[in-house]
Amino acid sequence: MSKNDSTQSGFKETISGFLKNRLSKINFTANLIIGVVLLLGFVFIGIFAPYITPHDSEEMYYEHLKEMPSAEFLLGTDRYGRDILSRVMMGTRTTLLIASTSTLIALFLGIIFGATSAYFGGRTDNIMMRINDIFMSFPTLIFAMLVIGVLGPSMVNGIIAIGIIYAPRVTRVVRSQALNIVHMEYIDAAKVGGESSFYIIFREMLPNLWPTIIVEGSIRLGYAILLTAGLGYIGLGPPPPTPDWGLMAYSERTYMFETPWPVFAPCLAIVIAVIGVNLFGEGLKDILLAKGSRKKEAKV
Amino acid sequence: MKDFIPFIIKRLGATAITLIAISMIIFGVCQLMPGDAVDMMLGGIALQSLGETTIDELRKELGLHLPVYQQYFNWAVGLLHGDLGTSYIMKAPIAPLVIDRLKTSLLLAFPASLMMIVFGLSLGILSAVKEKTWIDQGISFVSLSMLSVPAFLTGSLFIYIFSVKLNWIPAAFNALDMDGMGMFKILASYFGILLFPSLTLAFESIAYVNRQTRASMIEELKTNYVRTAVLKGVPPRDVVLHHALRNGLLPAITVIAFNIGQIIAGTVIIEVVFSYPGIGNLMIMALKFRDVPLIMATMIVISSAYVFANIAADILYTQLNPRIKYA
Repeated sequence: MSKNDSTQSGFKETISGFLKNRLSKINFTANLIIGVVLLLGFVFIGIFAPYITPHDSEEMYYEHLKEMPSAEFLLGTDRYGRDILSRVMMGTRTTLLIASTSTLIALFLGIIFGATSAYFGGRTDNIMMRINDIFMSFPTLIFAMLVIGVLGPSMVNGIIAIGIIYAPRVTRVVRSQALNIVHMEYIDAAKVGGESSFYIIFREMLPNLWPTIIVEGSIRLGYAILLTAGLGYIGLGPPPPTPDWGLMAYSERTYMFETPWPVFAPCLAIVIAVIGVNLFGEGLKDILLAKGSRKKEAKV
Repeated sequence: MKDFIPFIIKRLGATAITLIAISMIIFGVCQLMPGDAVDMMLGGIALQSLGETTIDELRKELGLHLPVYQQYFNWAVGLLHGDLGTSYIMKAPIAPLVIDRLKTSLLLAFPASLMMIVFGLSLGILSAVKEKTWIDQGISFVSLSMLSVPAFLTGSLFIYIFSVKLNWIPAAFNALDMDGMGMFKILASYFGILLFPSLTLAFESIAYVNRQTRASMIEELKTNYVRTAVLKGVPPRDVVLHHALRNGLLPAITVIAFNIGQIIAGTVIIEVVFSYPGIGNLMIMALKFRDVPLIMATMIVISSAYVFANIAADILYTQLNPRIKYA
């Protein structure tokens, strides 16, 4: 527990340090502001969805099947007469839960493996990176399909699958940043001072890795939302009746000839969420990482 | 060039190890599936009425009585011989089926790759040349939004606009009726059918290639040799296409080769959107019916294609860039 606390306080110190040093210099770009607003909006809807939806998301209004948007049903109704706006709002909860938890798992595993690998270096690093490469040579979607398909589609299995498949990608980023730190004098000083490896990795190295990790986390979150939606679309998301954006778009697509609303409403929510996360990430990148050290554009 | 052969051998060796590891992971994860093949083939009721001896015989016939490593070994040796096993649900050998579906999927992936190369490069060069004008900003905005949109939205939009509203193309691949149509018409409808799925498939990759090309071309256009060429009086078009592009293409080519792998893996969702009978839909069907041999076969085929595309990216890059040392 104390170890955990100390990591926490290390994190807080970094953050407050940043605020003190850079708050005056932060240019609150449009990117960052729009990103934060969108993200906070989604988090708010995700948390309070059951209390603020205009209708019950499961309630079927049989007199209002496949209706166009109206004052009563702001985004229309689906083929069972369910209110689409309410379902999209409830779907926010599902998506945010899966995407954010799996991103946290990926970050957790990535920090441990990446920092450890960079710290020990040499043969340990080599072996760990080869194993990492093997997991990275799996296409993300295919690996997620394999895990979820075998374990059965559910929210927990989705979180596990996405968390595992993104962990090696985080590992690589954390390791490359940690390699810049590991030869610094204060690490040598800690070694000479007889500190344990565990202490050096998590108390000495980690605080300087946080900016990279936070930016990487925001990038991952965007990908995770898209992957969650994609998995839902091919029927490997949480099973119905859980409202899931991808599944909603899939199951209503045959009725697109009559009513396109049920397909495009959840899609629109996905796009807004991803744009929000990406803008937020871009904004964070400008603040946390110096301009010169921007990472190269790399795909998943 | 002298170092090239050992480099290739080393790379292919690493690929072989990667493929073995991937096949182990796929096999291992499939072992976690609850119940075994016999349960799945027969279902609960038949299982009770058949009696233990028959079931044991069936298990033996399928090789399920062997220890796991033995089963893996048999499966892997079969793979090397081109034998992908027998599907439980279709009661037929998998190899011909998978090859057939793979061809259908490649029919989608090939035009998609072409589109990625053509649109990605030309848009990237255009925005680099017109840097910081409204053309550049427009292209950047479009490619950024291409990256924020799930593939099934793009696909659904295409279907909605061109199939529901304009009625140009059939909404689903199997809705096409080819009887009594001339050769030209068949070709035209094939083009119409393949155009939108492959464009959807290429969308994300176009954005990545475009962004990479733009970045490296902007860098190249600022170099001294480009300035010399301009001052020498070389026409601007030749400066861009002959001088700058030659170096600016390098990073883009790696991105292109890597994205070919992404395109192959990406067909899964596109095939669902357009009801296209490719290997992705076969994989989803296999997962739905829990047909383990079919799951393993489709997974290993797609993953291998992806791995080979990435290796090609690696080799191409070292080949084209003389500054890179073989590692």
